[in-house]
Amino acid sequence: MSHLICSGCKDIFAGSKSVTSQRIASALAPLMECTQCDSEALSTSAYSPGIVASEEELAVCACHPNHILDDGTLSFNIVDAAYLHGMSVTRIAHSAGGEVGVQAFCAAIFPGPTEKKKRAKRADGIAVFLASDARNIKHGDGTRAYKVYDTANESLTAHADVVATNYFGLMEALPVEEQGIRTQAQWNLVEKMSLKMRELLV
Amino acid sequence: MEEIRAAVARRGFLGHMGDISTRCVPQHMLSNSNERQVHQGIKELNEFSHWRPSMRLYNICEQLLEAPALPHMQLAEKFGWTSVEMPTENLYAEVFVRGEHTEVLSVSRRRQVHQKVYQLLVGGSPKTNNYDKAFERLKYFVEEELDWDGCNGQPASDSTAFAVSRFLSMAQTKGISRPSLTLSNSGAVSVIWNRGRNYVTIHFQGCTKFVAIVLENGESKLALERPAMDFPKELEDHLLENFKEDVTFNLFRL
Repeated sequence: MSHLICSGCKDIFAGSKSVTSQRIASALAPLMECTQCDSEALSTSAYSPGIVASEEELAVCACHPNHILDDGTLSFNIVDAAYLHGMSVTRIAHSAGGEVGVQAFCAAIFPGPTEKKKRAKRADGIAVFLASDARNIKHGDGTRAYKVYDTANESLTAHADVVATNYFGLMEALPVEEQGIRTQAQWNLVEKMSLKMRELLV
Repeated sequence: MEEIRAAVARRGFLGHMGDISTRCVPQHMLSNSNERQVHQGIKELNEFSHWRPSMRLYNICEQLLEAPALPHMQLAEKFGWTSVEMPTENLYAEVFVRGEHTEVLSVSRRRQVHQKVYQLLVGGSPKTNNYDKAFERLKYFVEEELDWDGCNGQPASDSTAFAVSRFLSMAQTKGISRPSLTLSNSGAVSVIWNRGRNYVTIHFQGCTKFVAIVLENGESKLALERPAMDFPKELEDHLLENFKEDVTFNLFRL
């Protein structure tokens, strides 16, 4: 693999695994300052099927019912994860079974109520967007709002993460002006997402 | 009267309603300062007669309008509300008031009738928009499980719910349409109005303050923090201009 990130960035990724889940995104921020390589344009591990191309479709399966609005559209909260631990996405083209496979994967994570967990959530579907959708969203000052990193691992080779570039942590901990900037970026990304309900595919 | 009863029974409106109970009253009414008043209202309803809820509707119709009730029940059908879908007294009031629209009564007459119906039903002030779903969702968020999202998600705290509930009540009385509610991983609750690329997001965590973010055409136009008791004028104006309750929304179905 000649397209792997530099050792310094590898250390940053490794170090992010030792912080609390709410600080992972901010722990990855130094990646943006690396002068040796561009982490977004390289692979992070030998398990990767290749860098995340901008035209690639990504799917997030955090279509949690608590994040669906009354009109059936997605809420900005679905992007909260990008500011905490990174928003896990699946690269559809590299996932076994493609979109249907991702739906099944999400359904396995949120299977719905069981005898033991009566309030367990059921995944309603997946939200699909292009890597370029996330990469092209900018704050008012022209800075990019999100990076998309290939974060493949042995068991999930099609795994990637959308990670915010600023305004990390819990929304309510930020100054009001920053909450406004972040909320705008989150809605802007949600606007690019296409919600695909499970029932329509199976 | 017996004919009406028989006709309505044939249409399936009876037999599904259950007895008069607190479930007939919006939950938020039970948790605010009107609690005693609401319970008194229920008591009076129970004493008013042994009517089942649907019977109350056409008795109220006859009492206030001096008109047969069956047309109003038929209107309910036209709205697509089956007996199962009409669990709250608010909806009965809505059927009643929407029915009034079709009879081209004056606004003052409609208000008068609505006021009477509401007083009969819950003993409180009339509210033209139905926020039940928002209050129910808020209650659900409070009762949410720990780790609800698989990432250590927290339920909404009682104090957050208190602040949100108070805010919702204020929005409701101002004639603003019902918002959506979402829950964050931290237990914060967002109250959201959305239309096209226009969004109003009110963020609550705890009962002391909230942050309101207004986006127009996808761009942030207003970001302010206020004590939880407040309903800022600029926010109210924006909501009334962009998200005013449309009480005639379903009339095209008639």
